[in-house]
Amino acid sequence: MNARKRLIAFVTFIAGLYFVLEFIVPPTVPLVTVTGVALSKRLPVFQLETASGQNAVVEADPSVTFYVLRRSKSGTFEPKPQRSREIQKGQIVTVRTRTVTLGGFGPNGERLDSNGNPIVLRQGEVPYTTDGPDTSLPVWSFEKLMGRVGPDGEAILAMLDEGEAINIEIRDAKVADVDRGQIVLKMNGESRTVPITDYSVIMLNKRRSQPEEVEMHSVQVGDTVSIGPNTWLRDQRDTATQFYAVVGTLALGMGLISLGVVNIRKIKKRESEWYTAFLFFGAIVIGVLAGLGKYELTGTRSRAFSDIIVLQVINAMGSSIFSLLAFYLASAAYRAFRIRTAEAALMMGTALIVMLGQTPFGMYLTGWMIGTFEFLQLPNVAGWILRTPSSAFVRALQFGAMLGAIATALRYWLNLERVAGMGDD
Amino acid sequence: MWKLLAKLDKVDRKVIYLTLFIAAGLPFFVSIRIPVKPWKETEAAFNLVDSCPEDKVVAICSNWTAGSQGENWGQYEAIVAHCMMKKIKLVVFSLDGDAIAPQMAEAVNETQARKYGRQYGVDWVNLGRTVGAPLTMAAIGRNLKSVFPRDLRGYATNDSAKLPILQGVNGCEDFQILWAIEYQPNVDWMVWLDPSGTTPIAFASAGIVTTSWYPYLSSGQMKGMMAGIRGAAEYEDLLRQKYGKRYLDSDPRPRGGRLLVPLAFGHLVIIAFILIGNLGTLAVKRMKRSAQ
Repeated sequence: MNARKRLIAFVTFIAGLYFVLEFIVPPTVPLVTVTGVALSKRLPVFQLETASGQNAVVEADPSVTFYVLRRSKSGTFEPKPQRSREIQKGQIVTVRTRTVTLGGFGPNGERLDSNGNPIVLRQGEVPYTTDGPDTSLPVWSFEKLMGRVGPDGEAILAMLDEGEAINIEIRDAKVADVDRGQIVLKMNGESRTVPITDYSVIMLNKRRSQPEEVEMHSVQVGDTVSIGPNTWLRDQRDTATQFYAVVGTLALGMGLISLGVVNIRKIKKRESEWYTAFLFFGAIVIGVLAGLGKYELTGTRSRAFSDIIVLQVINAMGSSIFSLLAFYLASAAYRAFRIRTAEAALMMGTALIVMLGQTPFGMYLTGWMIGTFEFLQLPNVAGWILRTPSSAFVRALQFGAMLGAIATALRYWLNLERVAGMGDD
Repeated sequence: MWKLLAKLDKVDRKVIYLTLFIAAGLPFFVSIRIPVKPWKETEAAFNLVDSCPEDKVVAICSNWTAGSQGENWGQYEAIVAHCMMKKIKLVVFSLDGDAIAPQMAEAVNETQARKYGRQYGVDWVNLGRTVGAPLTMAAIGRNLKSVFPRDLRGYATNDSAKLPILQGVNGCEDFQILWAIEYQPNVDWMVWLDPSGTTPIAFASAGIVTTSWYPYLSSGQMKGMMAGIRGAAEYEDLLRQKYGKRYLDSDPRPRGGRLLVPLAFGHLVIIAFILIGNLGTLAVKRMKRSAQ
């Protein structure tokens, strides 16, 4: 076995193993997972140190969302929402503590929200616009830009119009300490306090569906929950999916490179019809330009160019080629559907009923059958054929095909199958 | 007599092509209306979309392109018209399939949005295309925004100012229904999107492949189906029955009903030639027997 084959076999095995584990591995580690009915809970509390040196305390209630800055495809950093259990001590986070819509003013001049409750900014909290020109700026920066300069958060809140929505956030704060909270569960008739650790996962058990991971604040008294250490693999599912998508895209790029190499060789060696290679490269250039334009807004030139190429050219050519199928189908049906045996007669009879039943002419022909004989109308007979005997045959076929697919997949996984390009054995 | 009929055993293919060309082409120039009777699969899908509350979204995996537009365009247009008319939010994306699929879908979205006065980012969003089924299907079910960090126009999917439609939409639990629209949708949707099987799934496919979906319909894994252009015409008929003028004012002759006529005539030609061929075979056999 050469090194390349060994490498491919190893990668295939690991990928297959991942697939198997994803199905088999439960979300929490068995034996140390506890299940019971929630009686009470203490929410997680995060001690934060803001960039300006202030200390803030945030309780992870339903209005709180944690964000971590991640580099996006365009190279800029963007906030990505995180589950509270993913936030670790020492991490730099942004916390949106709440989003409020501004209401009127209280008797002492304090600003109220739309429910009439006073808005009190806690230490470290800053109000941010939700729909300004740049939501990354705090309200007062935006106000400065707009010429409405204000001294501090409370004063700015007083200046904003009623009905405006603001996000109240603590940005770029370091997590100094975390208390993950606890849940009191009723298990086998006894109450048991289950402390939540850095690795705990809370699964909400549902009667009619699979258990679902929830945040602590979503757990209600009376819910049946399972709490246990997470199995690291489950958290990597999204990463694995992205890797899978990248590999798929790479395959597309490799196909393009391969076509390019073939066409360049065609031109160099002046092979037969070598000039068609230029058409290939021309089509690639036009395709790339059209592809770039599709991201533009309607009405722009590049979008118009893209729409012409895709909707007028590719669309027309694609449907023309596909429509040829109808002519071949008609010709093939004429030649193939000949009654030579009893089985062929059965097949043709069924095909005619289903075909006529699926067109409006089936109703025209048999629509007069009403009352007791309505079931004999062609659409009803065609529907019965598709829903009952045909459905049973398809199911049987698929069972057989899937068993074969499992056997083949196992052979690939264990490197028992011959694969193209893997040597002569 | 039998000698004359025996000639039908070998009809020149050019005659078949020409007959089909005339039969399928004529309805494009002569206005013919054919009434349809909706099948229960189409009714089930229609009722599911129609019962969608405003806080839920209808997700559509739209993979149809130039080759399958004859059947899928009408289906997609009917669903989009239904949702936009009822102010139901639409989240559209493409998975695998052709790279031009999102653009084809967006052309329909924009046309329907103009008719019903809907706004991008508020009433619908096109998330573009990604690859990697079936793993990506599971990821869409778990966390839609992790699969599509940006939409087709380049807006970040967690930017609630640009895309308020996606605020509160995380995964399959927020979908009223997932439609998979293409020539032959991937059955993996039923296994991977929502392992608990509670998210309703419906397919809109070419008529020829619908036979494969009936086992899933009878098991309840698939909640509804649009079978080819007939399904589209039936869906339009249901829209017409329920919303009447409101629907017809925006499109007096919807695509499904329009394309059903050439399809039905084409089917008739095929059936006619099958019968002609068999008549010819019978005549040839008869002649051989009488010659012996």
